[in-house]
Amino acid sequence: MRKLALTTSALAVLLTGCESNPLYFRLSADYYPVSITGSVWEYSVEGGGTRIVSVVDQVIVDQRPCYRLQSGAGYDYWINENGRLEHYEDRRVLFNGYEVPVYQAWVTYLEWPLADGMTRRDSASAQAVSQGITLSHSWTRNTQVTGPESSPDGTWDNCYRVHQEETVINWVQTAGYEPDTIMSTRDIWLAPDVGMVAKVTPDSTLILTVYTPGQ
Amino acid sequence: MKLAILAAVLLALAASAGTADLYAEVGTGFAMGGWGESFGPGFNLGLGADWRLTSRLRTGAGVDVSSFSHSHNGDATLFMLRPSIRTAFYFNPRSASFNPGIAAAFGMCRTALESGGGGDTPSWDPFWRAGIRWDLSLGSPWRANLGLDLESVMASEKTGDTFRLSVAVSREVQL
Repeated sequence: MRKLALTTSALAVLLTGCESNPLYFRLSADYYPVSITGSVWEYSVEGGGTRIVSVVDQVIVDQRPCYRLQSGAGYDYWINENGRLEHYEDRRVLFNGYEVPVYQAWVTYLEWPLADGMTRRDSASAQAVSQGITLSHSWTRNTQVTGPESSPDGTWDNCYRVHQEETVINWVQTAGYEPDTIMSTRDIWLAPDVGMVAKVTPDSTLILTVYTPGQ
Repeated sequence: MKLAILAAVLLALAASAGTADLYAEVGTGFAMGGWGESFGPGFNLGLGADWRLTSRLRTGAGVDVSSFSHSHNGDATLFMLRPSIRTAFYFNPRSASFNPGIAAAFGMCRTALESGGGGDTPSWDPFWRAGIRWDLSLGSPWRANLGLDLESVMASEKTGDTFRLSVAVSREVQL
């Protein structure tokens, strides 16, 4: 009788608070499906307008095969493999009317699987000489992931919210120039097998309206 | 579901007379399906007891833990804790060296993900396991048991399937 009572108590403790959530679904999902040529994301821009992002093709950048995404007239390069999402950082400093390239490298953007509370910090410093003047560039990016949660418009479930704070310091090391510090923040919601469904910065909001996966 | 588990465990306790085997097992698990594409083989460790209802039929309860590490992201680990009840049927119980059997288990699985210094809320889901066994004597009162199982965690929206190999050592005790 005592054994039964003990067992029942133990089971009651064990079964209390047993919550189920689709953890295996999230583990199976691709939260940044940029590896399918032809995929198109169409976003509405707060205040009017649309922004279309598409996976154009596969190219080789810095000796690595990657996928090229087009948004307007600009291109971004991504690799999503081996448990991490990498972005090609192409940093330039404006000097005397020219964009001088100072830092180009593949940098890990996120590591999979995402989880609530995960953090990462990326940083780099670089210098370049242009017209006899040294240009220095440094940047730091802090990333924090929270979730899972719904997207801001409530359309997508099991999203992870990626909060990023980035600080860029550009310095033209000659008389009359001071270090130029630029700070920015952004919140990105990533949905399973869809990718970015919302992006909020202090001065803009993008919401996904149509997603067409490539073939 | 929870009532069914409770009833089954109580039934097992009611049968707690006669001979039992206290066992400890180790094993390795291989994740199957999308969830496991990035996870390497897992490590299992289990403890429990089986009651011999007849010479061929055993039933019992146990708990086992598993750990899967991410193949590329060393910071990511998936932990599983599984209290379960199980039943096994052996075809040749009088043989010391060749006693094949079949086994099934049912219970709850607590899955917890840790990655990059963070962790998702653990999920509790029912799971089942089915497989084959090869039971053999190591000299009374010790026995060994080799197992080959298919296991499925019935989580919402997507199941977590695993193929696992296990080795158990048990000691016979009189209740």
